[in-house]
Amino acid sequence: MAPTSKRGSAKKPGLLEEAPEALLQAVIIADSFNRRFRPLTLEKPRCLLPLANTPIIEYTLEFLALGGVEEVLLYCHAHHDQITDYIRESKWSKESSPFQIRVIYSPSIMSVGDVMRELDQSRLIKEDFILVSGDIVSNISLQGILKEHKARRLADKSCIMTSVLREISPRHGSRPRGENALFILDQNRERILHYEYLKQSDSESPVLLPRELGKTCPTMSFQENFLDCCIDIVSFEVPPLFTENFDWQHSRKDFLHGILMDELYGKTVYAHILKSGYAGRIQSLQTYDAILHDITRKWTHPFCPDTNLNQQTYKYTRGHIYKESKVILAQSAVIKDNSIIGAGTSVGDKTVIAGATIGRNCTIGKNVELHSTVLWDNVVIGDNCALGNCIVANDAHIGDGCTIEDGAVISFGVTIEKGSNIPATAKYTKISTKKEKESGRFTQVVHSKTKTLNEYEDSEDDEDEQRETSMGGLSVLEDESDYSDISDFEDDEEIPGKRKKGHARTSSESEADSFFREAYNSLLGALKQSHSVDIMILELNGLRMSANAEFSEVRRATVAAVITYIVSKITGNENTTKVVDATVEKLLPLFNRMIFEVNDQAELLGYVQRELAGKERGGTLMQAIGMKLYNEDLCDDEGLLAWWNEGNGPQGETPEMTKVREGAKAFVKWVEEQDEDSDSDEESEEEDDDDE
Amino acid sequence: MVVADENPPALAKFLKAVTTVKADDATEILIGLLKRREIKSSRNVAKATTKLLLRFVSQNRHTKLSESQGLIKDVRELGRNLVSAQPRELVIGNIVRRVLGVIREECHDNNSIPGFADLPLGGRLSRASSVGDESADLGSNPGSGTATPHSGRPFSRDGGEEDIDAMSRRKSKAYIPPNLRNLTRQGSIALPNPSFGENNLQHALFSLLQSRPEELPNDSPGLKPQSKEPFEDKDIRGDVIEGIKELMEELEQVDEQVASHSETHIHANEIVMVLGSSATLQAFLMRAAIKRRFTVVMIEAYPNDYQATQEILKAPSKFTTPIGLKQPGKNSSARDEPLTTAELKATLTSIGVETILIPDSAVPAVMSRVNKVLMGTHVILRNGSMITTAGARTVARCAQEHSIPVVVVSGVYKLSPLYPFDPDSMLETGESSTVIGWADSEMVGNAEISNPTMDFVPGELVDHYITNVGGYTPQNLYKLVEEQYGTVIDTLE
Repeated sequence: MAPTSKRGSAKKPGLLEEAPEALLQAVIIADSFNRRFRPLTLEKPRCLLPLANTPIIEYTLEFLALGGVEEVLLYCHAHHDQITDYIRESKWSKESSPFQIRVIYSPSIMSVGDVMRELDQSRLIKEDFILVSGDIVSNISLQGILKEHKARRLADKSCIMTSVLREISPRHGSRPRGENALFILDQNRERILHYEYLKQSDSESPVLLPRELGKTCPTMSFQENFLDCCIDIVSFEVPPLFTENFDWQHSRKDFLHGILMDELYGKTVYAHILKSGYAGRIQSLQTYDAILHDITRKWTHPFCPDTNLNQQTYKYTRGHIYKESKVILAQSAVIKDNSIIGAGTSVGDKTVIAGATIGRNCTIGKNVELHSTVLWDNVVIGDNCALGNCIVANDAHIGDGCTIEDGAVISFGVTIEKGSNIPATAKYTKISTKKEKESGRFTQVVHSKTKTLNEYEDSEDDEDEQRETSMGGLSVLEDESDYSDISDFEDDEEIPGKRKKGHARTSSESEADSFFREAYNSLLGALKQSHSVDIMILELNGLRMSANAEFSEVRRATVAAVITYIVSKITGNENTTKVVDATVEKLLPLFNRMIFEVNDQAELLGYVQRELAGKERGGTLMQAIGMKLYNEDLCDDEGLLAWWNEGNGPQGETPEMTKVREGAKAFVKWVEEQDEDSDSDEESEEEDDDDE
Repeated sequence: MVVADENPPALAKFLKAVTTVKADDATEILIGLLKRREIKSSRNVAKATTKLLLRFVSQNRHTKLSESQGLIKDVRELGRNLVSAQPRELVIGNIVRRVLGVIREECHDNNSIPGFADLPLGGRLSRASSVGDESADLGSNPGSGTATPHSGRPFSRDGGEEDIDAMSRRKSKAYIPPNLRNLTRQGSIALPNPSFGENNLQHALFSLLQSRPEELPNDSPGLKPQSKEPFEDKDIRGDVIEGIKELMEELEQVDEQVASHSETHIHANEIVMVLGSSATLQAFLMRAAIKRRFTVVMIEAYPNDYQATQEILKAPSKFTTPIGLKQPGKNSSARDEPLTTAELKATLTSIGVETILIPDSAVPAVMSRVNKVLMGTHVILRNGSMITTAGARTVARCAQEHSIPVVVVSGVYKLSPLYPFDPDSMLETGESSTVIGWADSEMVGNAEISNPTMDFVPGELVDHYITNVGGYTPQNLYKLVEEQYGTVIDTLE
């Protein structure tokens, strides 16, 4: 962990020191770990994007200040430098801030789970704390909920979390699409008994519930109509739970689901269902639009534009129109209800602004129509344009006579040629690839829509971007059902040899698993880049020491890597035996360091068998590898027979594994015969080398 | 009704913090609290503002009389910051202006004691009438502030010397003729004027010039101050702090002082219609209840007071902790939020006042049976209009139709010297969710919902204001404004 900045460590004696109890802490995760706001988030982190012309993080911090929070830990990953700078300059790092704020950057955090594990290691948490993401907009007072939580903790030691939920009707505009979840609550609607994340695509498929559920609670309430605000009051016992379960990434799908599924934990989670007040989370462009809608209409009072959270000068006029001072409006311009206009903006003749949000210093030409459009700062819009419900980011330039449909996103500094027609769900950015971004060379200004779009799609993250584009725009119905929040970890499952486990894991198992993954990856990489075997040994040893792994784990990982390597090598017409021989010979010293006795040999062969199961030419390979190992003295006949006899029964072997075993039958039979011979003759086994 | 130990959490937190941190930080903290609307009733906002000003003045570097202009400037700046944090809470501006008044008064008092007050100036200055004769003064100067509510003097907003000048006029302890005043302002006073040759008059001039001592010819023996402590070095901080403390005391005593008028306004067997439920209103009714028997008709005030009202009807016992009659004002300070209608009703019921709760829609029907309409207020404006709980205007209009008197009780600290040029901009719009549930998707997407929590009631609809300094009609309110703020009205907005 690398705390990039620590401020206010010895500050505010008056406000804080007198409190005898521990400080009320809050943890903000200022990264969403997904790409829903691309391409905007290529240049700015989501929490600094303006919402009603105020950075989103301000709403979250104000909300925490309202809740009486005294210390804030802000974890960030992407664009951490921008976030650090912003917080340093903001009022929250001043002496007068209601809480101490600490920005913590760690390059290793890729999910909520990682943050929790970091938190566990950092030991910054002493008491129950508030866990929110950096994109919450809410005006509820946390004090009551905290009191409730504490009382519950006293009564029920196993209660580890209180989640804030809101009921919402299915067709409500603010309901996040593609984020459906089933909550099962007890009859008082207080305790959460079960949580199930629902993918939209397989809404037909049945939800499997644990059998015990019915026994503990005869009456249950099944509800899908919750808006999960992602405001949790979390016990200090939770971060260690994440450490134990290294594969928990998501606070809901993994943690909440996992903890409730498994009786072994014996933990309970409660829900606080909001009766009044506003709470929402900006999860996607659609929710961004919905929450902006609510802010403009004063649902989030007092956090509305005219509260001027960020040193603005907004004034409220009837019909939810907010104007800053120094707005220049043409006489014939029409401002309709629910509009926000920032300072320094000028609006041309006959322009209609209907429910639009306009940032500072924008120039809007004549005869323009803005319907629910979101313009950020310094946007220039030419004459005779028509913009729908789209986002136009800072410094963008829209030429005369353009039409932009609902759901389009124009990112920072993009210029749209005059007369263009931007279709719904199109997204434009100046930044086309990461490389170019790093070298400071930006793709040139767009001349036609097709060109940019192509450039954008040609970028490195081709797949991601395309998926992004298909995600649709603000209020356009989104279908992101197959979209996983944590794309970085998706490929975990492809690792061969990873055992599918139940939900109960002991801590050693999970460590072993993580060791396996790392060892496997490093070995495979080394093999492919044909590093010398000494380097491999060194690396593997280091990993083994740090993870305190057993040799059996080392063998498993090594075998998995070697088999993958060999299999990838022999796809062509190459001689199987040759490849195997070459590889094993190269790795001799490595194998020598992990095989000590007969059982090890048997185990190694067992792993080989398992890895080869289902592979093409698995039987042939099994025989080739077995023979090579035998010839190189890595395994003697005792070990070979031990493996052969161990798995002889049907138990523990899939048909595929049996098939692999059958491939080695001839060889084993031969060894068996040799063995019998040598038993009688007491001959040395050296001779066998010649007979292949 | 649960009475907390002392103050509501947000206010208590602030009052605690303000004594330990620097004044600038305390300002920032208060701005944060105001923006988040954590301090809710205007009484508590007033208290917090006064406390902050006390801290600010005691830490300000301008302590000397000669630096009073700097102090005034700093306080005004602070006031602007606070007002912008919650522009519709006019009480902040009122308190800041009152404190500015205190500072000006101190400046004047100190100037006048050695300079003017004990000097027989009258005969010597050509156009001056006698010292202390305010009426003569006002008579001789048309447009000097009392004539119409919104006729400020042209120079009254410049700050600078004329602030003191105006204060001195108001206090009528000394008077400087306009011609001399003008000269002073231009900075080109004609010292060698032969008619000002006498020593005591030089004192007078000296005190006029106190803010720019560098212009004084130091070598002139006649201009040297006679007393041991030079005037410009006199520390006025203590006196200003004293003045602010008096203001704080006033805030504590408001309810009791207002309540003392109750017996003359509520008579036996009257039916009083009550809208809103401020602490002042509660104290007023409770004091009256000691001697009189009367009936109170409460209006439910949907939507902002509505839920609490429903709750009391369902579970009355929850609220009926009686409150001692001896200390009507104390209860109010212990609350973060303003009293709700339900709580007021419970309190009244507990001391034996017959109370009837009616929905807002029944007001016109019940009005004919009522003897008097009683209201609290959020703010009173200088032209006699007021800003108060939403729904008040309808009630007042209805009362006018039935020729029922509308009486408003309020502390004088709620009296704002502002004129409502744009009443709409003075009204706070609250959470929409109190009008309709947010989960109601049918309405939320398709209807425009607005929840103005305040109502503007023009002066014509109000018959009488009862303040802690006596009763006023809306038409005479400007006199009270003059008394409280003087003629110098600082622009803070």
